[in-house]
Amino acid sequence: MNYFKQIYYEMKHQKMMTWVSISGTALAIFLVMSFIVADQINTVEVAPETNRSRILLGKGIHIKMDSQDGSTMGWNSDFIKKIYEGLEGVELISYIRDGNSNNTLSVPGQEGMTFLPKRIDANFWKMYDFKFIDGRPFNQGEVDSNAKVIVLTRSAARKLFGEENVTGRTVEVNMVDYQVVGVVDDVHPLMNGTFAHFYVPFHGADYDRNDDPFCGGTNVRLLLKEGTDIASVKKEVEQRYQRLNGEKAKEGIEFIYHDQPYTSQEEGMSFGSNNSPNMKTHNTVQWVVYAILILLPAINLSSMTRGRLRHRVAEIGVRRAFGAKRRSIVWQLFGENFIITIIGGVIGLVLSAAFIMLASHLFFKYYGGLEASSLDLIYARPSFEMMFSWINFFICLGFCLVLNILSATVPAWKASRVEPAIALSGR
Amino acid sequence: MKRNLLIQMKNEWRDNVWLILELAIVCLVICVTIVFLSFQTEGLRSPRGFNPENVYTIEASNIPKESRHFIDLGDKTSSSNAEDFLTLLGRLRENPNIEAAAITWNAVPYNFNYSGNIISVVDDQDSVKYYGNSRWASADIVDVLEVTSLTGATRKQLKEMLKRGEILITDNSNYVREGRDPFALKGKKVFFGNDTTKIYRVGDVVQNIRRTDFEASWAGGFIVPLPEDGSSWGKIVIRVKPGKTEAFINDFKTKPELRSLRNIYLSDLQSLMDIREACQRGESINIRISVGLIIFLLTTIFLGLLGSFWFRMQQRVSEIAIRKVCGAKRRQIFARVISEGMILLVGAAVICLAVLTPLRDNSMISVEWSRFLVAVAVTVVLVAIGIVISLWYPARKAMNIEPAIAIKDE
Repeated sequence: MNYFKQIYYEMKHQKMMTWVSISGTALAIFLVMSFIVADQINTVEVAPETNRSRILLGKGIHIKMDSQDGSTMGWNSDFIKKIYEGLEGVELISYIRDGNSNNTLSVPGQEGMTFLPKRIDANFWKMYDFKFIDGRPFNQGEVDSNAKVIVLTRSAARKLFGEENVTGRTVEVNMVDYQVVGVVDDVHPLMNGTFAHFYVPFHGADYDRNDDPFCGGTNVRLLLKEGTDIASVKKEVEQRYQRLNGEKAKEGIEFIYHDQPYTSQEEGMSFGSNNSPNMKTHNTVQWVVYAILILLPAINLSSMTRGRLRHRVAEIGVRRAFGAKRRSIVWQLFGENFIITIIGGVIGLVLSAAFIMLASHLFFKYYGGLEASSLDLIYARPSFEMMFSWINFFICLGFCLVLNILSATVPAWKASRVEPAIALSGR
Repeated sequence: MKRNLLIQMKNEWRDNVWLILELAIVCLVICVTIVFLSFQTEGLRSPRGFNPENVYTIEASNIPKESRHFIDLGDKTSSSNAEDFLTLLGRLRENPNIEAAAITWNAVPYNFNYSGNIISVVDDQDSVKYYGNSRWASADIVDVLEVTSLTGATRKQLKEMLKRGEILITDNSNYVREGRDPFALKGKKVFFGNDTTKIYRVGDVVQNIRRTDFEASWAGGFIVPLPEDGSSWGKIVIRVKPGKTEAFINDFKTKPELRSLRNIYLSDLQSLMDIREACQRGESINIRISVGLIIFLLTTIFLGLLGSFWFRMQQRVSEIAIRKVCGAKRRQIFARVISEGMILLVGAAVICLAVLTPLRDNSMISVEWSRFLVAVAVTVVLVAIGIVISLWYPARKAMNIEPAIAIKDE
């Protein structure tokens, strides 16, 4: 209780400085938490991507033929199986097409509208947690037979038909009739592994290149069994690359392994098919940024704490004269400072949540690659569900503690060492 | 008085060391950020080579055989498709809202495809070659993108050159760096890569069409003509007349004859400004983050100096009062407080220079002296402004001290 009383009196007598301290803390926590929360959005597990931490992505292929670079963002539909089929620890494998341009959808008698597709197989529905509000997902039989079936999102169904229960209706996709077999809840654009306006069967052979046994339009997703070590799966893939390179060396062909398949965090950092995401540099830069964001306010707060304590030398002298131990003085000052830090920290956390929800799309890029696939992605703002986590709350508390230790330890320790006689003499 | 100030600062050396350290870190980060920003925005300081406003792209596609809209024309399907594609292009050109329309392949900016190729002059053994990004387009691309000649040729003349099958090359900083003049290629017969079977004449030198607004031009480029004779296929790119965007979009939506003909249909009308937004997102965000970081650092200085000097002024009430009694003017008191801040800044700037100068030119990054010194100067000015703003309030408080009240206890 003493702590709060003391802070109340401090705030009353040193209004300006108390608010400067709180503002400095709030600013530091606001920035650090904004960076952390924004970074977590690439990995947060929200429906339909509730298994994100267990899903790996195989994106492009980088081939050197007679030392000439060649690459593509997709694989030949048969060749990709040599790399990814039958890996140890993989529960489910899904072949899809990642790079999709807009398609025109229309219903008879109405103008066509542009929507973003995702071409997928039947395992995709099992891998992710889609919520069907009407109908069903398409099955592997329909995928293999290249059936003209389509699953719409709620908003696409509404735009096209004016309602959501449209199973059995017909919609034209690029002038070809498709039958609606299901409608799913809208997917948030920042869930970029699953985001699309509609889903149609992916028939890999249609995207294979006639004269190229390696490149095509197929990408892969792997759902790992619970407890599977990601590094071991990557290692096995790397070994397959090495084996293939051994077989193809005579033909002058080399496949470059770029740490694929990627985790969702690596995918957010990747661009093109000829580069490996450099997580080490990314993490180092991130920690340097956090250190600067915490260290500078800590220096400020430390000098302000020293300034505040100079006014309390006499008080500390009296306490010491009446038998207070140095340790209790240190704890008292440390505790008071921690309360101020916590007040600033809570303000900073609330501000960072508001910032992330309202304006983070202006400051953070939530997708991998060079370009955004749609304007929906560019203007997307994270939902509250994507940002809120108790872990973030504890991280914030941890940063407050670090800030407090950095800013209050030395001044409190020095103040506690003041000799009572000197303190009371006013020197 | 200045000597007194230094002695006074020496007496508070512990606090001042921390403040100098803080200012030095801030100066370092701001300086590095300014250098980064100057590289990031390099492209913005040079001509873009095109005008993206009122430009739209349209996809052209064949109706697949499985569609109920497909019209079976037997052996003539393929030639009819080419004919119909050109008819649709013609209909777009006839639309009163459209200024120009062209067929393109990799000619529209704001995409990161780089179809690099080298140009060699026929019967010339020069080992230094012109390297650039290949952009294929029909002649009207000149009007659609507003391509600019660097030799004074009009757009009409540039279009005539493309129609004659000549190529347009662009200025090329890399070629110039290697001691060659791109303008010397004008009128020369050239071929691409190792393909000597196709010979082109260089019609003119035009402004480089950069990939984005931010990316600096680092090599050249060339526009290769796509003939409108039924042999070319690609994306359609149009320039809409100013103020006619809505009218055209409405026409495109409501007039089926503009969108399809037999087995050809046009779709996915996209504004080049929207494509730009998607393409440049990363760069825009980097710039915003950098500016945000500078603002954060200046705010930190503001809070830090405000806090420290607030306490100092409280401690120095009696001293300031005595100075005023001895005849010091308000302005002098103010100047003394600000000078204290500036002396701290000098200390920080020296540390900043000592750390950054050896890093200026190393194996990873090379920053030319002029850019480096400008960055340091801008940093010092920004931090100085920050210091003046943060010391203004404590200094004003000091100026307003009433001597009689302040030293009544003495």
